[in-house]
Amino acid sequence: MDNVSDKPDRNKLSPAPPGLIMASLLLWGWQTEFFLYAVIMGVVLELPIFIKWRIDFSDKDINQLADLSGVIFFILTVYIFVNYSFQGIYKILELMPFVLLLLMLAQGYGLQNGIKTSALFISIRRLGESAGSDVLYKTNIGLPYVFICMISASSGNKFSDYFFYIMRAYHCMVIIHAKAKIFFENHMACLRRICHFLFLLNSTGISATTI
Amino acid sequence: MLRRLLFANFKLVYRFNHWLRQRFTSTGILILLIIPIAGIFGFDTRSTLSFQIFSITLILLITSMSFALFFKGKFSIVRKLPDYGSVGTPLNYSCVIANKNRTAKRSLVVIDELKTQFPTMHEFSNSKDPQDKNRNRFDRFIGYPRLVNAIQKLRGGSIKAITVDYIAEQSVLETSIELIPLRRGYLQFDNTRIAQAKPLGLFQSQKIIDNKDRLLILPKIYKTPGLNLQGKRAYQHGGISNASIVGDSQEFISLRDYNPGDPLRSIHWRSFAKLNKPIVKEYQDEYFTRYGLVLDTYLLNKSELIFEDAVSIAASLMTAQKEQDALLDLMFVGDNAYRFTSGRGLAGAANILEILACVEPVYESNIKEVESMVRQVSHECSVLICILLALDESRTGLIKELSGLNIPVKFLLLSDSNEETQGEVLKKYDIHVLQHDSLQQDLDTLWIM
Repeated sequence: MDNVSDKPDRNKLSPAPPGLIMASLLLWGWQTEFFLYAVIMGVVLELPIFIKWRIDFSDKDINQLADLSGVIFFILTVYIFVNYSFQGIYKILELMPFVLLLLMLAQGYGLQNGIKTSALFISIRRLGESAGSDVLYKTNIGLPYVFICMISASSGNKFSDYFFYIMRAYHCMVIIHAKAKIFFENHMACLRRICHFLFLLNSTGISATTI
Repeated sequence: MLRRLLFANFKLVYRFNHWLRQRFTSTGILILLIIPIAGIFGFDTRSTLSFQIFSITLILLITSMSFALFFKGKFSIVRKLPDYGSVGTPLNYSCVIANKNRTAKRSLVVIDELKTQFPTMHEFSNSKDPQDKNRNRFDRFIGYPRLVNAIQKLRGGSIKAITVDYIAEQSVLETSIELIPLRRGYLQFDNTRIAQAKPLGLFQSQKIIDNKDRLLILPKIYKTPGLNLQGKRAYQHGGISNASIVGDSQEFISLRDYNPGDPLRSIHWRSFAKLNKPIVKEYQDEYFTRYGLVLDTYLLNKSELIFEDAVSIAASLMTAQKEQDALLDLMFVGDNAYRFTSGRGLAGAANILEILACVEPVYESNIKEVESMVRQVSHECSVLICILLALDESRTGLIKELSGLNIPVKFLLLSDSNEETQGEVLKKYDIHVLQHDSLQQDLDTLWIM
């Protein structure tokens, strides 16, 4: 029985590896010229790793923060569409890390150690506690935030070659984190080479497209 | 026509969703979601670089899925189930996994599966989901969440997947799996999957092992007051021994001297030999308390939760501590009229609970049949307890009829929290209302007649 570990949260997202949120925010700041904001946001979001001070947010508080983020997103969308028309969609994409910052702060500094799906989806919130455990659960939004930062960074559309290499590195970090236990098995080295080969093929394709 | 089309598509969507959840890890699902988003934004390659994210994530996923094709392994699994479980109470059972391969296996995930049954179109149309009132209009109209709940209910439970970190070659490992039963009745186990998310941890390759089994889930049991109702003992024609064993209809109470006229078969030969004078066995006719428990099964326009509550209360009363020699009759009408007796060497609580675990609600009125069944057996009963699901005209008639019998009758009425529970009938016949939301509290304050 020692070899068996009961992991009920097998289907729940694991937290982002330490430093990846900072790294993805730096990439975003670099690509979209929000570097100073990115540094501040990155420091604030990574700080909970080093300090133990936490706030006891209730579910209602988190719901209100999620609602506030939604309202900010709505106002931002209207404002940008009025000023930039359809092209504004890329502008909205650029600003997404700002929109989700409140929820990330609540997760990082809250005692809840995750965000309930009821905070993110009104339909689940309306079901209340009677909702099944398959829809109502706590999830860590660290990794989704990292990917949102990456997509936001891509809208900056600068330094495409470096961007691609950094993307590869970040994806490797995600995969290594997900498979931390078995990554160093012998056959993984072989698999890594295959992945590298696929990436190179992919890279060649990208270069061709860009030309 | 539209409904039928939607229903057919829902089944496909459900199957696809189920497959996704089983095959992809959480990181895999996240990457799967990123692909279309990055693809849409990356469509114009001159505006954003997200096409690069699209291509990286797509390649990762394809690589991960390709490796799943090469998963080899020989395993066997034996499930050790308990005799029964109870609704809502997590139960653990063990599974013996045998690794028949020549190599050790690491990071395996064991997923035990209950049989997925889809409701028919008719069942789906008639099904009522208590959560529907909290859903938005679109979800209520389309009905997909209702279908998902109906399927989960038919499946009957949720089983947590477990991770086996290491299993040596040619060896066995016993693991404990947790099951949370969601409904009563028999749960059908279908298969067991052994999954592995190598090499990238995004997509699971699986080995499906056919492993059929079944497990009885009993109704939820509440704490109820002991059955100590003030009913008179009633003469039981033929005695209870008539029901439990074939033979004399009287019960032995003592030995006494022979009197002229006593039948020869009453002589106790061993005592006769010892005392050298005829001694006979003395019998007594049986008088004892017999409780009648009437379960209303006619459920119309009411939530199935109410029926589940009624079954749970019936089960709780059947298993409650009662007088040592008392009998308890469970009576209900399904496709036929049923009467099961427990106590005094007859069916034990386990048998009655098994029957109650399989009782289904009826959607056509059967109150007349209940009335006639109770009238036939009422002379044998000392006390009647009647569990009602609603208070309509036909049931009011039943209440009047039963109240006219010369025995104490207690009526329990199950109610939704938002239902009107005041009225003349309630006061007149002392009907005890049990609210769904406060069932245990209501049972705690239940009568002792």
